[in-house]
Amino acid sequence: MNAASPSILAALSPSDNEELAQRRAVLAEIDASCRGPLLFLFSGSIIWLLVGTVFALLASLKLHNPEYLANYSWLTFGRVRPAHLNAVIYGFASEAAIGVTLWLMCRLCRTPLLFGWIINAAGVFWNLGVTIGVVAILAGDSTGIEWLEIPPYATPILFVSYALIAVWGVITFRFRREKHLYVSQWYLLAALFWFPWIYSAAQILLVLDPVRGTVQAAVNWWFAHNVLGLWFTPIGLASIYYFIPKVLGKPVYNYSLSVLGFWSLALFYNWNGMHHLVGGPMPAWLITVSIVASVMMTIPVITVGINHHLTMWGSFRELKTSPVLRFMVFGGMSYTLTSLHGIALALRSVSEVTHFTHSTIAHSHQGMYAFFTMVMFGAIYYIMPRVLQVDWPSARLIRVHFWAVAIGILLYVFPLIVGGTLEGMAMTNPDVPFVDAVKPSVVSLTLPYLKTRSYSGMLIFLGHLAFAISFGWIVLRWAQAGRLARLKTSLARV
Amino acid sequence: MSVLWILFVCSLVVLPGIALLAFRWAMRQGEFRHLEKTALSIFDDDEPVGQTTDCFPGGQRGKKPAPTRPPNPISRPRLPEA
Amino acid sequence: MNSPTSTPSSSPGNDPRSRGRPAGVKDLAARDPLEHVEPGESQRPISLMLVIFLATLFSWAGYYAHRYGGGYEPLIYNENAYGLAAAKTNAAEKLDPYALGQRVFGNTCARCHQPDGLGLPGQYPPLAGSEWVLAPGPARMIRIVLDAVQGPIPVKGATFDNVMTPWRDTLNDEQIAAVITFVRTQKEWGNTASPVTPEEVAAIRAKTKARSAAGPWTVAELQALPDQEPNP
Ligand code: HEC
Repeated sequence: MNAASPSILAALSPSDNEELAQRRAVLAEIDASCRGPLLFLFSGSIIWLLVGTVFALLASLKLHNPEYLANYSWLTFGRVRPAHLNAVIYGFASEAAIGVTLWLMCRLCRTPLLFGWIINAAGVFWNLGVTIGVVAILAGDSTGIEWLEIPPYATPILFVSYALIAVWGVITFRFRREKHLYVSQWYLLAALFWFPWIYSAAQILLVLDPVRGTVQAAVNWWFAHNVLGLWFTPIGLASIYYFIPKVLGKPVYNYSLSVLGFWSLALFYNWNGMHHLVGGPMPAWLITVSIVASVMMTIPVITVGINHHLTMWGSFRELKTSPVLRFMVFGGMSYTLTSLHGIALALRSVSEVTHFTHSTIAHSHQGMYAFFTMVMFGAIYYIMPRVLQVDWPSARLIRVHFWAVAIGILLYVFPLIVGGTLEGMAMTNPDVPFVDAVKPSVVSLTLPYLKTRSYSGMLIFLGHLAFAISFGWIVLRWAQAGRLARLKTSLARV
Repeated sequence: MSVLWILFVCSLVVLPGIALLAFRWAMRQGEFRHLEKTALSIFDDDEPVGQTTDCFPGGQRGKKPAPTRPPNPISRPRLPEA
Repeated sequence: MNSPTSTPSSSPGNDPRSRGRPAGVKDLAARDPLEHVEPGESQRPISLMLVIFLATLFSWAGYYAHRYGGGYEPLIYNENAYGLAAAKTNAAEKLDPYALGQRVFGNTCARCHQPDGLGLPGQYPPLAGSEWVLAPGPARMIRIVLDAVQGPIPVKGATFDNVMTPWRDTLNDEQIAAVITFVRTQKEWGNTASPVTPEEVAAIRAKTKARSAAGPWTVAELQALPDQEPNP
């Protein structure tokens, strides 16, 4: 190994050892084969990330400053908030998730990307669907069902795109060259199957042929909770299971626990949604069973937690030098925290206070952002240099990104959990009015926390800008490097 | 309402069926036996143990002051073997 | 250190970089890890701690699902209706009459008589301090709530001339008793009359069934009644 090599690339470039060089060439071939689709998916997801963050900021500002931009019907709270949700969930998170899944599948199966055009077509459709959906929501055409606001004329596009990706996943798996199925692969394959199931079931039951009455709420929560649990969580966990051991160069602490974790997640997660309806007009058993399943989630959460943290154990100083590890470990820790918090929130006595408050919002951001999004950032930081064969241009930008979003999301989540709990206590107390100019009321209690959230949102936006610049820059570098190389080869020929 | 029945059958029969089949398939494949091997399957034979394969870009841009340790864990020379 | 293939000679135990790795995990750099790892290692994957943990969790799950499952009856909404027995008899739980009365009042009467019970001058008479409400017996008030009242009515020195809505078909005996009790005993309004039971309401509801077809009561009719309902 070349001791003087200054960058990641040194580890990637061919060395004097021929056998080694050949193996690396295989790896490089796999990485290079993903380049086009990944560039497309990641660029799209980063654009959606920026768009979604702007909507998020608007929505957050409006909560403590209701007159702000109130004259534009397109930018009213009722439209900006679902626009934010759909832009980040379907635009950013799902697209990044598809990209990372793609690369992980190829690496875990040890086969170069087959049928890249399927993914490209899927990517085009996906972006088209989300664009139509978000514009329609802003135009006032949302279905009004949380997490499914995209109107029925845009969802088939998303569905077609998704079907393409799932088919691609099955094909790649079929042509795998690796005999062992690493735990990440389990998670990825399962996610590829679960998402179309929950999405189509919810679409049919809520939009195409709506069920009536409170069953709608039940289906809605079943879906909303499962998007997180059966689509994003498995992909996030698959990434952590791959990247932490890979970056550290040591295997996961206890592999059998990870298998237990996967199957218990598969068994228990999709019962969880109903715990959001504690106290609602639902048969008691439905909610009780859901609470039981939520508590049973301790099994996958604890096993995953043990695995991630004990794999890291003794290597924490590497956090100083590895950006990927920073994001991954932040995400892994948040996963443990947010899951345990979520289990507590499912209990009747806790839920009676916290549900329908900002505490739920804080909790979902802890899961979606502090866990999943951070993991996606880490994955992109690992994947891009290997796929493009160019190093990240600026360590400073990465640091700004990390610290801005890390501090930002902590500043978001923890104050808002406190604020939401206070809000819930005030709402269950009949002596506290909802709005009151003089007396402390539910609204005045929550105001400081809502303002904190806007500040944290600005910080997070700053981080995202740094990330977008980094990303644009590395692509530019790659393009230039490619052009120079081509110039050189053509010159050499002459 | 007929849609509901399709979903009923799917959720009660088809999906658990697929899960069971997947589980059985995994059993037969030996996925639950060669755990240690599988845990190692993400690594290549020549990958160094316990060496970090990721680092901040740096060193080569000359912006940061010279670090006390080599900036890149990849390039960190291995300790002499006992 | 010019070629990584030389690493098999390094023993993981002495390598400070392998700190924190579970003992027994083979050095990855061994030429072929797939050959060198004894399968025996992974044959005891589940520790006693884990078994105890899982057993505790599953026992709790069984208990909780049984205790709060409402017997898995679709119509049991109250998780405290304990077990199958309660689910079968479908025994309605005892509602706090005060809370029920407050809720009924807020959903029905407050629209006209206002949340503070003071009514609207010239349109809706007050309930706070009203002699109709505070009469020693509830006979008239029950009739008013069941079938309503219309025409000029003197309340606290002012006369109102309007129509009220009847509640006979909307509210059941328990709800009517609760709301009347709530109004009659609402201390914040200075009302300190006696409470009313659902049985009293049921009795009057049965007795005035025929009368209800004739529309709301008139003040004269009501005033002709005795304060206390004579026992049948
Ligand atoms: C649609 C509006 C309306 C609603 C709802 C309503 N009331 Fe009335 N109520 C009236 C009006 C109007 C009168 C006076 C009727 C008249 O002028 O003869 C009245 C008279 C009364 C009186 C006798 C006068 C007094 O102020 O003491 C009582 C007692 C009374 N209502 C109780 C109730 C109760 C209890 C409820 C709720 C179950 C209720 N009302 C709901 C409109 C309403």
